[in-house]
Amino acid sequence: MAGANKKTCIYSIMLIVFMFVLPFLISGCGKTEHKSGIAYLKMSYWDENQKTSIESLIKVFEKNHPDIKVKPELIPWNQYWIKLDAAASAHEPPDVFWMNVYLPKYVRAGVIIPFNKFIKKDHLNLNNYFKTSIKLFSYRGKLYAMPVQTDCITVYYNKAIFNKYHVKYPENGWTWNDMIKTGLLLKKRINQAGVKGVYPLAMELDPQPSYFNLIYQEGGRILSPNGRKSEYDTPQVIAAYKKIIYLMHSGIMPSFNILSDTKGSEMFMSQKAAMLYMGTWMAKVFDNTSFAKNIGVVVMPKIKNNITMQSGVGYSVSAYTKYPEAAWKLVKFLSGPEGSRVFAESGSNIPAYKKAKKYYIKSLKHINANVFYDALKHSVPFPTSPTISTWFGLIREYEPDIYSGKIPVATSVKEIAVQMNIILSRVKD
Amino acid sequence: MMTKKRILTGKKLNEIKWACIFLAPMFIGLFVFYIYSFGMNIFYSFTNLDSLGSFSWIGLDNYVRMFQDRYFYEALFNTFKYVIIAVPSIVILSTLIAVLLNQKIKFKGIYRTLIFIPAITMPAAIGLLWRWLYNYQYGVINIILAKFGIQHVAWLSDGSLVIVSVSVVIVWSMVSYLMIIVLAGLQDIPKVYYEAAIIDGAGPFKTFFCITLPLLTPTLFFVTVITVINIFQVFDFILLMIPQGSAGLHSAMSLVYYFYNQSFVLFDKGYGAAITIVLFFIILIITLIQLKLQKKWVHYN
Repeated sequence: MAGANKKTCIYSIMLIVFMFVLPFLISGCGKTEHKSGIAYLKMSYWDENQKTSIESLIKVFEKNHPDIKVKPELIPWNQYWIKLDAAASAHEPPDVFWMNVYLPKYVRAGVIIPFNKFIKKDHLNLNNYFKTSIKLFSYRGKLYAMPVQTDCITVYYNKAIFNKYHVKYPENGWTWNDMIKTGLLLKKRINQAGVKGVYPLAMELDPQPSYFNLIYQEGGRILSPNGRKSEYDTPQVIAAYKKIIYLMHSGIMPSFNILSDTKGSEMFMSQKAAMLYMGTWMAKVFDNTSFAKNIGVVVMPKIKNNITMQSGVGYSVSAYTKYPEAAWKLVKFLSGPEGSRVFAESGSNIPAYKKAKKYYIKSLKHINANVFYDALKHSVPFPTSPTISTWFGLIREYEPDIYSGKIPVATSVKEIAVQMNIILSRVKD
Repeated sequence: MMTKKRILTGKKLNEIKWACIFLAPMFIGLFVFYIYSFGMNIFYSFTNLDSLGSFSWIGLDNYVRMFQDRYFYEALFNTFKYVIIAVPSIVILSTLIAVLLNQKIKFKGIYRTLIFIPAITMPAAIGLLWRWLYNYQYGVINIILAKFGIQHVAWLSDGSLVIVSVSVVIVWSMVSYLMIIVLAGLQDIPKVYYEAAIIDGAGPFKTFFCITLPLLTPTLFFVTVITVINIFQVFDFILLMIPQGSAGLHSAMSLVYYFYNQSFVLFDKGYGAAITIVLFFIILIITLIQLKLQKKWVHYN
């Protein structure tokens, strides 16, 4: 009897120990055996549409570098930064990863390394890239990400709707007043025809494709040039918000309720909006729609100017990587001529490498991408600072109250500026 | 005598030892994932923890800021509104449905299955589905209403409606699961009571209020406590149904949503931690009140 008891006990203990060890065994199974002399790199990115092009590029890279193995990992956008931050605070971020305007935050925390040493050694010519892209990924004169894609905001329009209501297409060089006139005329004709649910204009009211552009076009700014003070409490910012509110009230744009429920790009793709302010990241999607041959593109109308926001994506290298040299080789390849060509051919967005322009223009069958390059002649880098995620989120938090008129615009921008300055002052130099 | 006692204590010690070993895995899990994390959470609520793990002690700043934060109050009041709207609806509806399904009716199995379907559906699917149903311009609900000449209603972007709209989805998705619990409670009630009631000539309503309801109170108490805690933590449907920047967001966001936004969108994790601590105390106090009040209405035979 006692013997049987003992046996049960031993089995039980074994079971418990096994349960503790199991997770390690499972996680161990996933790991490939590491051979010495070979650099294993983990690389993460967020855009599912680029999976095939990235994987094909990595195959080419591994062929050229038999001593480097790359494991790409796709992390969807809404988990990307949470996951990256958790890994980075454990000092285990992927060796190479996509970076955007959040860059200063990672520079300040020492998560990513500057490339200047490598660039000098390899005699890389940064003039091959958009100046704004280089600016966007530089912090204190050092470059921390190699740009691959960039973007800009333009106005897309549906020629079929314009034809139906006998309204002239918008043309490059148009002004804000031209757009209002076009919008009102369309509105009138749509109403006369008794058509419901079709609008002259749509926007997605988050900062990048809409009001941040208008703020710069009014001659305003988000941050002071040194990035340490908020410039949100200015007449220019108020004017920008008021312009959007006017568009909604006049019926040129759908009401805020409608824009909250249905994305501007969805309305445009279901041919319910004649014009749309949108970023180039949607160009390929529009190009694949059934009515793509009817889609025209034009630069944004001029207020005081027609500056567009320019942001983008690049590759950064972790400060904790065991193989910085190999990681740099991968980054150099992916952001270089060949990587940029494959990226441009996917049509996902504008290649930051300027010579890849011809491939990008060819990748869009119906949409005239030359207009994007016209728009980029007047661009500003997306405003950023080490605390961007916090103050940018704060600005977004006020959107509903501003657009619904719950808090007056002037009060809102004052409150935003005060809180932004508190947030900006958290990072001291 | 002496020796026997010593053997007993030895045996007992042995038993305690084994009990500890067997309980250890659970306790370690509990400690690491609940008690330790909870302690850390309290600590972080006094810091300005950011997403990359660096922090410094800022004392009560987070709490001071919270009580000056307009959006915190909005989230707090919204949460109470959810509780006031959703909890009674869920408890009453799940009881009603359970009582109906406990009757001798045809196709009982089919009804039970149909009503249980929301419980086995992913919240993400439910949220996205209802988001489309509710859509202002193209949603099915508004299109049907329009057929009766009713103007389109902004279910998810009208500040005065959005809580009700989201609550409907919460109730719809939670009733099914709690209905099963109530049904189990109903089937625990001995048949003899009902037989006695029929002999005494009691009608169905009298039976329900004098026998079913009192004997069901322990189950109802459990259901209420669970529902209150769940509703205080309402989050997923708000995130899934109402996009950032939407007109209805501030009227719909709950405390947990606000915590999520602060911690994982704005990456202000110290402040997020402080919000959860306040939520914890609110739930704790309300649950304690419920435990005290149960003596007044719950009959354990």
